Amino acid sequence: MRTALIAMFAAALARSAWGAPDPGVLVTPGGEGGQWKPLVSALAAKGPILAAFSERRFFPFRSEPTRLEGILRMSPERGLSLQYVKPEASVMIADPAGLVLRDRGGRSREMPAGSGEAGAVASLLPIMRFDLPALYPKFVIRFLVTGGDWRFEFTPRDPGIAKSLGSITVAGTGNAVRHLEFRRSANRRIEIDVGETTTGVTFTPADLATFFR
Amino acid sequence: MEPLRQKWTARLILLVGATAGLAWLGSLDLERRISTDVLDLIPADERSPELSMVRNLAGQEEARVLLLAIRVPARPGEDRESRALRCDRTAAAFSGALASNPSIAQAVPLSDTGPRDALAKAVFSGRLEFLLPAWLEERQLGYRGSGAATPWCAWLAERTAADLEAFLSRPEAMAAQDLVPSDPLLLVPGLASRVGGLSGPGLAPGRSGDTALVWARSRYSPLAPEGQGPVFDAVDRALARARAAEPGTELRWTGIARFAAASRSRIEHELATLNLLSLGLVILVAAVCVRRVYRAIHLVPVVLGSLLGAWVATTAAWQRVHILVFVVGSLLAGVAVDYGFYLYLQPRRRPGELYLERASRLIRPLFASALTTVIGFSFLLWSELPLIRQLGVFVSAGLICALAAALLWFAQVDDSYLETRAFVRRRPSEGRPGVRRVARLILVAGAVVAVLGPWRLRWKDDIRELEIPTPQLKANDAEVRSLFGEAEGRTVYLTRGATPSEARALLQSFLTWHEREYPASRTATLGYALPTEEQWMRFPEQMASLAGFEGCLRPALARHGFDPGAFAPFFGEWNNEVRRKDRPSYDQLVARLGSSLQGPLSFLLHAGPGATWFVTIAEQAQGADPPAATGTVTDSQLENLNQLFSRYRVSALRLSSVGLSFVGASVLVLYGLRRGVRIFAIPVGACLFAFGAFGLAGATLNLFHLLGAFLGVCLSHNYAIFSAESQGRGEEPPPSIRMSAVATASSFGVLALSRIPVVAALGSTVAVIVLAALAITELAPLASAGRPPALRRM
Repeated sequence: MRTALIAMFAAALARSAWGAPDPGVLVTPGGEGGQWKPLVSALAAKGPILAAFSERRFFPFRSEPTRLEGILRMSPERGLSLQYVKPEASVMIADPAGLVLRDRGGRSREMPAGSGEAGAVASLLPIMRFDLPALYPKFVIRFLVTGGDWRFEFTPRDPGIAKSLGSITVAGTGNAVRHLEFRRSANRRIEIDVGETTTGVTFTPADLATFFR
Repeated sequence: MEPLRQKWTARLILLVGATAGLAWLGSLDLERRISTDVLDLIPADERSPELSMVRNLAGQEEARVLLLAIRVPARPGEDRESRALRCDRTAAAFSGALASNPSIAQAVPLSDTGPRDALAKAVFSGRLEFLLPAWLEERQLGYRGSGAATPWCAWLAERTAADLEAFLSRPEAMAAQDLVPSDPLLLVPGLASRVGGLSGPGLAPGRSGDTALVWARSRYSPLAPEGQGPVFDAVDRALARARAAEPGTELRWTGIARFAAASRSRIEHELATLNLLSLGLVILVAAVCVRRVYRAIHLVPVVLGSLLGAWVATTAAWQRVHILVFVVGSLLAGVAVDYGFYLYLQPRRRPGELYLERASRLIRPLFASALTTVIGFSFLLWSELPLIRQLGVFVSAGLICALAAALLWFAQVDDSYLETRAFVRRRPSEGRPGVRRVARLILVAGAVVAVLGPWRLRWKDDIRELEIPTPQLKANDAEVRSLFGEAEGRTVYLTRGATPSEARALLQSFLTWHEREYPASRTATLGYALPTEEQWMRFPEQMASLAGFEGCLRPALARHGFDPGAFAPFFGEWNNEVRRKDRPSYDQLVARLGSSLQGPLSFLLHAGPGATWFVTIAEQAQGADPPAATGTVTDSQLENLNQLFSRYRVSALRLSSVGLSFVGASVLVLYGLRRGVRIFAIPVGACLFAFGAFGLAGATLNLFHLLGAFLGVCLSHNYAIFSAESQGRGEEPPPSIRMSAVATASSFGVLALSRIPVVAALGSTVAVIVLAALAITELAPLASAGRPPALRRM
């Protein structure tokens, strides 16, 4: 009987091990496990980009996610700008000075870098720049490749921040970022699907004034 | 030989007067009675409400704030984050050491989120009291305006659910998602969005670049000695503690105490230096002009008696006297010595002539000049400005005491005549045409300056000129304040009322005015976290009308895709509020919010006995001032005080004019129309010449130039009187006029060297007027062609 129980327990363990997701390799400053290195170099060297995106926000008190659509602009010098067009027009800018929220009327609200208000979105800037030296001190970074797809997972090292922000995932195919996810729990998360991306964009002075600080 | 009785009577009176005066001054706590506070220059009962308010606010808690910025040196290879953490730790240690000092009431590193957390907690736990009344009234206005047929409860539920759904698509929704089940009305996120601008004044970040910020408040007023030295020691000790842990730590800090201490020490230094220099110069003038120099020592008691009398009268009349009165009052040395000169240099008509006979010849011009000057200065007692009133008493009392001291002192010395050197008495020959022509030419040139120059004058009053400039402290102050987030393009308003209810109502009227005046500019105030008293009084009725709100809101939430069961915490609290019977009074409500404010946040709302104020920050550069009816002023006290001083200049001009009219009238009464006009024309001409010279030189004048001119006119008309008296007796003008004018010009010339701009203004004005009056007195007889008076040489 005891042997049977041990066998069943071992079988259960084997099954759970078989079904557990692959955590990927730990990305370290030394650069072991190297597959991510050329990818990071290619992603970091992309320069200014422009892409459409759709966002789904999951809340524990709502049965369906809240859906938003907009245009993402990334300027290595000026920062990251998310221009929401649906359901309500607004602009969110993450740059080294912090976060700026600009409403439909053009009124801005600024949150300094490092403030709690800036929250998870402020982390997006170094992540989208793939500025790993800036990210190592703050995040445990894992990298996973499945076929042609890849995924980076960023988990805050500070337990308090990890609890309030959760983890951030950046996934893509080839040299393109396709998906972002901020996940505190299954019903507290944001998913962003990045559409067709245009690289080597030149932002006009009007674009810079409207969508960046 | 003077009669013994006369001598001993004079000595007794002098002794009693000096003893009584010194005893009075000795009994005073001069440290407390003499103020260096610039606010003491403004009347306590200033009639302009906004200025009165500025005076009150500036004198209260806000003035005790110290802003401190800590920086640690970078280590080789250290990244920014590690250095910043080290800096935060050092700032925390520094702050702890500072807070433990008894002279410091509170010290908080801004990286400490405690004050913000405490406020957030208080607002969240009391959100239904603080925020719901105004929220309901705003929605009810919308309901009435919509003309909807649906019942109020159903309309409100639908609007709430729709607003909540829209909110979830905004950027701040993710950060607020944990609050939403307890706050589907979005009371707290709504307030956070409105008061976002309050993060500007150094309240949000604990760091600026590589600098950690510490906010502290001293226990005592920065204008009092205990709010200065002990505070500086506390900062030094805390820095030493921080450096023990983190060598090389740098500190930059600012606070009103630093300015006040610098100002106090420099004014005290000026007071000592100017008085000594002034006295020294007067003695030097005497030493140069008289034969037996050592005998000039008899002039010193006259000056000391005058200053003693002035100090006694001023300190007896006011509980607090501004130190500037004594700085400016040092000019008395130059004026008081005049009476000594007139008496001491008056020659005997015959050998052995007694003092009383000699003095009796001078008594009329002495009294005439002293009393007319005193009458003129007495009019300053009607000034609104305490400094001018105090100066009026100081000079008037000083002159009377100088005259009395001179008369008594020379009555008790054996030889009360001091012979001047020959060059002092020497005069150009009046008959020579060349001399006459030159004298006329100079007078005409002076007249041209007097007529044309004053039209080019510019007037500007700036309260900063009352202080000695401290550019280094000011630059440091601006630098530290910018680290704390104080930026241009933003205006800070203070709204004050006698009660919380009045202050909140005034804030409401100010916000209405502001929205109309600056529609594009947002405002942030903690007043948004409080209903008005009217809203609070209507709140129970509002809640009673929404007793069934849960039944309306649940289906509305479901229709908009929400799970109504997730909002159980809110429904529990709502139903408790509906059933509640014992709500606090409005004052208790405001006090509850006020008591949750700690550290730097405590200045956003002050609810104390007799006064409540709210701070509002507006995102626009300073523009039009709010109407007085809103009980609101901007924090740019400087501008307000400058306006105040401009108004006082007009007031001083009016009083000076009245005073001068009386001086002129007194001269006319004493000397008749013709002689009176000739006497009065000299000081008036000298004054116009001085203003003309300043105008042509492009100088900008202020209130103190005006006061200087008044004083100069009063002084210089003495010379005109003595000159006319001598002329009337067929004598040459006495040499005392020259010595007196030179001594006065010297002592005021010393004031012109002062680093306090207003003192320099006063000194230069008087010096120029006195010298101009002396020139007119000397030149007028030379220019009177063909009418040389029959003079008796002395």
